[in-house]
Amino acid sequence: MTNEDVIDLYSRVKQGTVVVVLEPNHGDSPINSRMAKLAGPPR
Amino acid sequence: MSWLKAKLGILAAGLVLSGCMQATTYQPAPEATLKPADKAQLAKAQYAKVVNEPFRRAIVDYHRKEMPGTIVVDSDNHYLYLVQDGGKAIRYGVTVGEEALAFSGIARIGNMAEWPKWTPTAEIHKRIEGLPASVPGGVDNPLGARALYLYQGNRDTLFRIHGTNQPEYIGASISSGCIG
Repeated sequence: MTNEDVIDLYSRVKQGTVVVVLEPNHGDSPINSRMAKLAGPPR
Repeated sequence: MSWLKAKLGILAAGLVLSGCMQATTYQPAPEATLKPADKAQLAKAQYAKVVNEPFRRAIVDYHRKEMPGTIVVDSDNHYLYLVQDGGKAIRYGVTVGEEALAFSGIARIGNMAEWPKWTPTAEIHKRIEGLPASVPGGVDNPLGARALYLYQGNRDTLFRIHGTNQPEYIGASISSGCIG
């Protein structure tokens, strides 16, 4: 992360905050390019 | 009548677009969070602070079920989300560890540090020769401005969410199994 971003993130979390690290190839981003490909070209 | 048809057509197109497009509002980290020590350190940075647009900080829609306040790291897409109320999240671009090294699972922040020193693990020393035993905190330290140390119970997983001294790699996979 950029230093500016990590300073921002740090200020918003605390010890004990839950961190979920998704498994490789299980990415679930709303703009997952692989999923977009599976869905086919835009209609 | 054709004008009405055209108008309805445009309206329909608009609805379809808004239905499938993700609202992404790019929003730089607020400067107010920077402490005087941060400003002094950042001013010393020799590297360019250029990050490609998709990896800049943004407010986005969030459709998963994690609770507000949770950090979710999507290594595949090089994004880290901080879940907010109301189906939104703050999305940050990250560098992640090479796939074989990458950590996955559920952890908690067990420790937090500002401008942390970096003590490379034995594993990192094995892979990269000639590293010092410890690198003092500062703008040239690979951990950057902040580090969040991930723990499972009382055990340090050795994985960290941290800043960087190489912003040009954000969006790529190079960091030593860390989320930078």
